Formats: sequence, C-alpha cells, structure tokens
Amino acid sequence: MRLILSCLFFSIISISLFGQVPNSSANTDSTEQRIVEPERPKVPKSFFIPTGLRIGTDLVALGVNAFGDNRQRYEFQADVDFHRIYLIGSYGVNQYQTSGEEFEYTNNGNYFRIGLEADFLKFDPDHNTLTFGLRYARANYSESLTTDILSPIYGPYQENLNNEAVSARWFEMTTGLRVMVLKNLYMGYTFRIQLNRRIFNATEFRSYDIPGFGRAEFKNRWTFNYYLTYRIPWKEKNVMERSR
Amino acid sequence: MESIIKKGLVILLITGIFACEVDSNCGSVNVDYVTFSTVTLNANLEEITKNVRFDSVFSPQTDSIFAYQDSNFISSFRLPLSPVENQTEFFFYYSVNVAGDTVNYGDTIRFTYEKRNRVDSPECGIDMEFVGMDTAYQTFDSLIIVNDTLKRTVNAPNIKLFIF
Repeated sequence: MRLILSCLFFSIISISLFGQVPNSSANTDSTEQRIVEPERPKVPKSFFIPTGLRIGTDLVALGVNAFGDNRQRYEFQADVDFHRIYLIGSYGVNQYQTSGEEFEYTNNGNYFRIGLEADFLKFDPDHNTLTFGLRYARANYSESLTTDILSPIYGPYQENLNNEAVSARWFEMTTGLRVMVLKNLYMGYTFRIQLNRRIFNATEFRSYDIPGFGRAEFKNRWTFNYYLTYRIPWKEKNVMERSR
Repeated sequence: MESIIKKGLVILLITGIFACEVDSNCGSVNVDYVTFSTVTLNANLEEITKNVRFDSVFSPQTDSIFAYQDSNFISSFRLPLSPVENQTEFFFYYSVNVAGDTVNYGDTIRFTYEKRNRVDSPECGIDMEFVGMDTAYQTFDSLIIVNDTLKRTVNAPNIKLFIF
C-alpha cells in the first residue's frame, strides 16, 4: 500500500515537473515564428561497442568483516559499458550469526544483482560516472535457529529449526558515483533502495536475515555500498563533442 | 535520455522516503493465550452471556492450575497454550445457575495448532506465533472457533463456549 501510494505520488510530481516543457504549443502565439531547433547529432553505432570491463569489491563489506563480530560478507561487482548505458552485476557471499539469551541463529548464503545503469556524464572520456540504475536481485541461503526457552507455565523446551533452501528476490533502484582516482582505478558509492522483497521456502521458521538485503522483516529498505574498482580497457572511449 | 534520468532520480528520492521503515521494537502483537467467552441462547435463540463459576481449570501438561475454587461468576477468561507441544488439553470443572439451582459440570477441550518462531532481534529474543488453532476433541454442548489467530489486536474472543 505504501509502495502504491509512493508510486502515485511521484507520478503526479513527475508529470507536473516534466509537463512544463518549452515546446508545448498550447500557449504559443500563432503569429510567432516557430524556432526550429537544430537536430541533435546521432550517436554513432560504434559508440555502443563496449570499451572495457570494470571489476571491484565492496569496501563497506570488508569494513564490516574487519570491525564487526557477526557478519562475514564479500561482494564483487563488474560492469561493462555500452556508450552511456552500463550492464552491471554483482555477486556476494554472506555468513551471519547472532545469539540472544534464549536462541542462536546462523545464516549462510549468496546473492547476486543484475541490472542497467544510465550515466549522466555525457562528455567524460575517463569513465567517471554519475548513474541512475535498476537491478533485479536474488539470494539463496540456509538458516538455522536453536532455541532454549523457559515457559513460566509449561517449563523449559528446546527446538532446532532449519530453513534449508530459502530464496528471496527483490528489486533495486540505485544512484551512484564512480571517480577515477588513479589510472583505471575507481572509487565510488552506490546508494540502493531495495523494494518489494519476497521470500520463498522458509518453511520451519520466519526468515530473519537475507544475504545482500539484510533484515527480512522489512519489505523495502535502503542500503549503501562503497566500491573500489579496476577497469580493464580494450578500447578508447568515444564521447560526443560538446556543441559549444 | 536526460528526461528518463531526471524522472528516475525523482522516483528514487521519493521512493527512498517511503523505503525508510521504522525499526521494530520488542512489542509483539502475538500472544500465547486463547480467549473464551461463555454464552447461551435465550427463548428467541439469540446469544446471551452466560456467567459461570469455575471450581478448577487445569491442564495435564503443567502443574499450574488456572482456576481453583473461584467464587466469582465470569463470562470471559483466557488460558495459555503450551509452546512445548503442538497441542494443549484443558479440563474445566464449573457450575452454573439453572432456575435457581447450581448445576456442576466437567468438560474437556484439546486444542491443536502450529507454532511459528521468529527471531525478533538479539535484544528482543524469540517471538512465537500460534497459527491454525483447532479443536481435536471437546465435550462442551457446543463450541465455535470465532478466531483462530492469537493476536493482541483481535478484540473478539477466540472461542465461544455454549452452555445450556
């Protein structure tokens, strides 16, 4: 419901924002001479040939591994350019464990994301990017829960519960920045809004943690990654020339 | 292309606001008890509240006794289900006034259900949910399961016991 409302809300805003385009003919005087805009130069097809592969890892995950006690996560990401569109994918492995007074929980699994990103920066030959993107993400994992609870009326009891082959999927809207810090070495962040999470095959207990997503109780959430990537080029990037 | 990117950014910003869900606290809506109300039918076959005095209510699964020589007449009460097993049995010994006379009864209910565990958080511990409650055996005159969901937010009783 919240998602539907938000979709309606941003649709209204988008329409009102982008409805104010100058080529609307409703208010033009019929005597006014129409100004013919110069035709935009077409992007040559050769620009869409990929020029390199960028691979990297998530530094946030490495930081959590180093300074946290509960989670071990490694994530690798790769992207390839098709002019100003990037095909991007990431793969990660995740181990998580936590415990409380009356339980122990462990989670082991992997996840991937795949999607496209559109680059805002038109004229940058160095592959610095400011992007907006969409992703499909999926996680496969197993989790176990051991409880040791004392009921004040019925006494103590223990349970060992296992969700053996759980999967989850969600969608992501992202925005990110990559900046070349050394030749072919890039750093930058990705801010993700993760949406419409669904869990499959959690049979014995309610899933608690999803690799690559986080707490399973949320259907929508946001997260942040900081990547260090290296670009393996095989072709110079062609960029459109500025008109002025 | 720019238009798509701009629209995408607007979508991202607005959706981001709605994606910020509030973190949960320890207040679970799930409860571990069944709520009962005792009713009977009047001459027009309409349901009316029936007051009952429980001499004792207990379960063979625990040493605890839920009611013992209670002198009050009541028409609603609640009993805890066992989280140890997937069934709980209760024995009721009670009395009702019938035309000025006190009549004693003894009845039994055995509930079956499924338990679903959920880790709330390391701080809040385990949250157990009882779902699909049903009666495997019962000796009351009549009984209706009004609601098989055990939640704090449900106002209606889970079980209506008909006593004639």
